[in-house]
Amino acid sequence: MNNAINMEELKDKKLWEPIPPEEKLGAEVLTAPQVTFWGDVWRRFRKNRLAVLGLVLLVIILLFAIVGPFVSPYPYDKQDYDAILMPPNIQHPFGTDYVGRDLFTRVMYGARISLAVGFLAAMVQLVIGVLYGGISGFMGGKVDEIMMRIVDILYAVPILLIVILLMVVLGPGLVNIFLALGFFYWLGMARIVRSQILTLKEEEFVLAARVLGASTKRLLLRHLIPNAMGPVIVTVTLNIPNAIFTEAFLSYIGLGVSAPMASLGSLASDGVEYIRTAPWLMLFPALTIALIALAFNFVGDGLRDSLDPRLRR
Amino acid sequence: MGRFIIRRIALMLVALWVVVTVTFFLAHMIPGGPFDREKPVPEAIKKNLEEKYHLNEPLWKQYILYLNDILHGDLGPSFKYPDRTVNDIISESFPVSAELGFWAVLIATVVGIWLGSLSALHQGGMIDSVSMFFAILFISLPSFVIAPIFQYIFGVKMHILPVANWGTWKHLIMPALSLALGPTAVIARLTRASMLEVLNNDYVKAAKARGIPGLRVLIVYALKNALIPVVTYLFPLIAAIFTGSFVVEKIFNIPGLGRYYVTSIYNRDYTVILGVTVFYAAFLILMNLLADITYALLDPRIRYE
Repeated sequence: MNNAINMEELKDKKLWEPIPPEEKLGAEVLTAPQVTFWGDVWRRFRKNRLAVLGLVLLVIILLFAIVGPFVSPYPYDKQDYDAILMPPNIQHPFGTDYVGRDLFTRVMYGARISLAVGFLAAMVQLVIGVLYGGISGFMGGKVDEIMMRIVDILYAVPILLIVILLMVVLGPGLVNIFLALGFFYWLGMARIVRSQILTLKEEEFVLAARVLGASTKRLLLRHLIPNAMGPVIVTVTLNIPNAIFTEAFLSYIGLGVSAPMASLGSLASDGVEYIRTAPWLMLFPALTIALIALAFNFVGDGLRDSLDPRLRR
Repeated sequence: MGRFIIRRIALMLVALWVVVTVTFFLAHMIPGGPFDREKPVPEAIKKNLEEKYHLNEPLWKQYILYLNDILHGDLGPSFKYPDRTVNDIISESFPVSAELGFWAVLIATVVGIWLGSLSALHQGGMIDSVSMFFAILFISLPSFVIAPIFQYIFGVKMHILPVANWGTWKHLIMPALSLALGPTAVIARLTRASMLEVLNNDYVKAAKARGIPGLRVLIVYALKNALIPVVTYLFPLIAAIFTGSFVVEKIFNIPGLGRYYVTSIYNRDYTVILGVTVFYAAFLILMNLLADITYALLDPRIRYE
């Protein structure tokens, strides 16, 4: 009778609920939180002080370039002959130029152009470079041979010179800069992606996908390219300053955007003539270019270290 | 190995041909003829001029003539300064660029390798952090930004160096430094990275274990292998310094080829632009070839397929 189960006790609903996971035997061993690949990358990235600084800088520059012109009280081409060559002050934080235009506003527009060029370079690399390299590496054989010979030849051609020539022929202008840069900026990326794909396609998960009947398109877009993304992102980030420098350089030698529009390169070039009397005209555009490049380089370095900790140096 | 070099040379020749062809056809896409000036040239003179420069021939024939000229090393006349040829301009001004370039390359390699090795030896330490911070800073500064800043600080404010022009060693310092800073930073980073890799190798550890002094291990054992990527970078570096000199020569008013090139772009002196482009392209392509060959010679691990 003592062993008899108390039916009333069993009616207690709590007894029939599952044990919460933390009371299970050995639960403490099993509860390590799952970390995704990108979560892991972010965790490492966050610890890198320079990388975070770069990211913050990048956000500030983006706001400055995109929102700035809407907020600024001066249009970029507004001449004011009462305020010629004014040193930096409250109304004009970066001073004014030789026809009284507000340099702060002009630098904002210049930064906009620089960032647009950087964005374009990134897109060209991501779309043309990744697809070209991906297809070349994946197809292998004759196709790969021909596609890579073309890249080899174009790669041996000094890009800057051809871009200069193209700009001489096409004439100055932002669209022409985009064309000239877009034509060449995918080459390095195509090589990197190809070598990544060559190693990846020998991996077993690719074989498995193939056995399961995945199509070529699916193999490339779902398996191979996403796995090659680490080096791709790092290369894109570190190449953006190069594209920005190229545009600034072209504008500097008078092949960039046309007046009265201003790019950081043409602003710096105009400023050089006033270096004795109004050094701010050269210094602010120059510092802005440097800050943009610095931000991308910090972020790119940080990404490289956090995407592939084995490479950490 | 032999086959590898032959393939590289073939590639170089094709690349050169692409450059020459692209320049030729781009030049003919330029709207207007070379003799269309603000003041129109009389019809008869224009006709004579066109005949002299074969502009009346069909395009394909002009192309053949152009290829022929280039194969004979003749880069054509300047349309803006009819008494000078592109060859004159190059032979006059390239030595100046070469002198400037030489000093810039020297500074970049010596300082870069020294800083890079120092950082690798003190990995994570104060020297390492500071020099790597400055390296990334200088990589982010294009030479056309560094040059005017130098000009302002040392020339305009401190009056210790001449603001511009060419002649004495004092004129050389600022332009050479503006060209060298970026490459110095790249070399320092390269040296550091490959040094760290090499220092972890067993043969270096073994040398240390045998009690060979640190400096000797560094120079005799580590540096030799660590410098392979640096040496390969040397030729692209020379190329980069020469293209960087376009603007630096312009800023410092140095009578080198870079300044002529930029001036001819301002003046739209097409034949000079074309001639100098072909010359620079040949030079840069040659540097690429040398880089590939030295790499193959220095590092037996790379496969030449």
